[in-house]
Formats: sequence, structure tokens, C-alpha cells
Amino acid sequence: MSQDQDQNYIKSIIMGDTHTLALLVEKYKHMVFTLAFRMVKNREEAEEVLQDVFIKVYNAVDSYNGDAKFSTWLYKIAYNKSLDYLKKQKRSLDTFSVDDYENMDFAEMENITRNIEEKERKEAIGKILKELSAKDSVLITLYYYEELSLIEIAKVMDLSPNTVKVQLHRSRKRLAKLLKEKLEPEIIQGYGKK
Amino acid sequence: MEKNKEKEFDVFFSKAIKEVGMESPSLDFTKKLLAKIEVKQVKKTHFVYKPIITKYAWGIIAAVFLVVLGYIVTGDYQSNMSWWSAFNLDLKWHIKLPEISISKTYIYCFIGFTVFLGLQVYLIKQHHSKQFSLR
Repeated sequence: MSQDQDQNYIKSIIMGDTHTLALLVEKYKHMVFTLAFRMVKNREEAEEVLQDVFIKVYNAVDSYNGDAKFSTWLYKIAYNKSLDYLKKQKRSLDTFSVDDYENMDFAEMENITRNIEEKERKEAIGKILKELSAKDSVLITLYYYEELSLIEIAKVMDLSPNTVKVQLHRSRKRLAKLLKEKLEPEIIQGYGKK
Repeated sequence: MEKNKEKEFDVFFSKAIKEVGMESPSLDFTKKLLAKIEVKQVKKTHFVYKPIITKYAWGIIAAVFLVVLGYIVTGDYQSNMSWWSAFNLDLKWHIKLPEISISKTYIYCFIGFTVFLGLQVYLIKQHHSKQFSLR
């Protein structure tokens, strides 16, 4: 249904209808902005990237061949534009390595987060997402939030599905390490308040 | 064992990240974007590229060129020709014009040079089109 709607939007945009472009922008701006923001880590810069993404979409919409979902094509543009932006700023895309994944207990982690107030929990997760590298953030957002398949993520990031699987495994480890680091002090603080 | 841990983590983090939700750009983002696109569109329509020689004309030029080239290479062509005798004008009384004789080597060099010049013009045009394109 959503895909059919996107196809109709695209046909109108190719005819030069900017009103339909506005509808498409409204539909996807939050997700594209979220991806850009989690990569460049700054609101103003993310909005600049967001603008570049939709200008690119408008200029190149006739080159979208419908092989993949429109959203996948759009996220690929957003990912590449954010990468270009980071490269221009000479900012790092690298990630740190984590080896102590085996010692982590996710059930315990869930208990920890359950005990924190919703507002604090949201803030803590938001901070953790900010600390992840650009590539980890995109991978995590597309997999957990947007619930894309490994094949779709592979198309967005221009990787093979197997590489995505390996990278996702590593990103999960890094995320878990950050969660443990950030949430344990929160729960201690929480007890202090009580 | 690790697979189970991953699954536990996936369930937990899916819920957690959805709780955080999406980020939002500024309220007037769409308005600003459309204004920018419209300005670009106006600029584009002001500077629409129109070739001086149309594709159709280039086709005719190429056909004529190939016919002449074919005639020179394979046809009954005299390398020593007198241009003025073709007009059948008796001008010898008033002015003396030199007889022009063109060797085959010269003609081949000239044709080769012209072809490469044309190719160069095309390549330079392509280079500049790419440099200034909006995409």
C-alpha cells in the first residue's frame, strides 16, 4: 500500500509536481533526519544533509528504477550523503572494538532499564546512540527501529548481507557495552534518590 | 548460548529504541526546502541548454562527410586538380591564379586533423558539462 503510494508520488514528481514532493518529504523527513542526525551527531548539520538528500531525490527521481523499495533507495542516499559530509569534515567513521560480550547478561540489563523512569531511560538510550560510531548508529537504527532485513540494510550500505550480519554482531557488542556502562550508574543514582 | 543472548538483546533493544522515537527537523523545513528547489528550477529554466547545431543537422553533416570521404578514398579522384578550370572562365587575360595541386598525403593528414579536432571539441564540452551540472 505504502509502496504503491510512493510510486504514485514518484510519477507526479517526475512530471514536476512540487506539491507531491512536499507530501513525500513530510512522509520521510523524520526517518531521514534521524539517520542523518545519528551519523553526523549535530542537528544543524543533519538538517543540511536532509536538505541535500531531498534535493538529490528531486533531481534524480527519474533514475529510481523500482527494483528496491523507495524507502531503501532514499535511505541509501541519506547514508551516502551523511558519509560524504563526515568525510568532508574529516571526521572519523571508525568504531572501537569490544571483546567482553560473553560476560554480559541481557536479561539483567532489561531489569536494570525497567527500574529506571521512562524519561531517564529514553535519555540514556539517546545518549548511547549519540556515542556510537556513524556506521554503528545507522545499522542499529535500520535494524532495530526501522526493522529492515539484512538484505535491505545491505542495499542501503552497499555491502553484502553476510558482511552486514557480521557488522551487526559487532555493533550489538559495542552497544551492549555502552548500555552497561551508562545504565549501571543510572540505576545506582536511582537507588540514591529513593 | 550466544544466539539466545542475541535474541534477548534484540527483543530488549527493539523496545528501547522505539521508546526513544525519531528525531525531528525544524518546523519550517519542508517550506524552506521547496523554496530552494523552486529557485533552482527557475535557474534551470533560464539556462536551458540548446545546441547551435541540432542532432538532425549533425546527421546530415556526418552523411555528407562520409560520402565525400568515401569518394576520395575509393572513387575516381584526381589528386592534381585545377579548381578554376571547373568554372570554365577565361580569366587568364586579367589575373594570373596559381594552380593548386593537393597530394593525397596532405588530404589524409587534413582529414585526420579535422577528425581529432572535432573529437577534442566534443570531449572538452563533455568535461565542462559534467563540471557545472547540478546533479
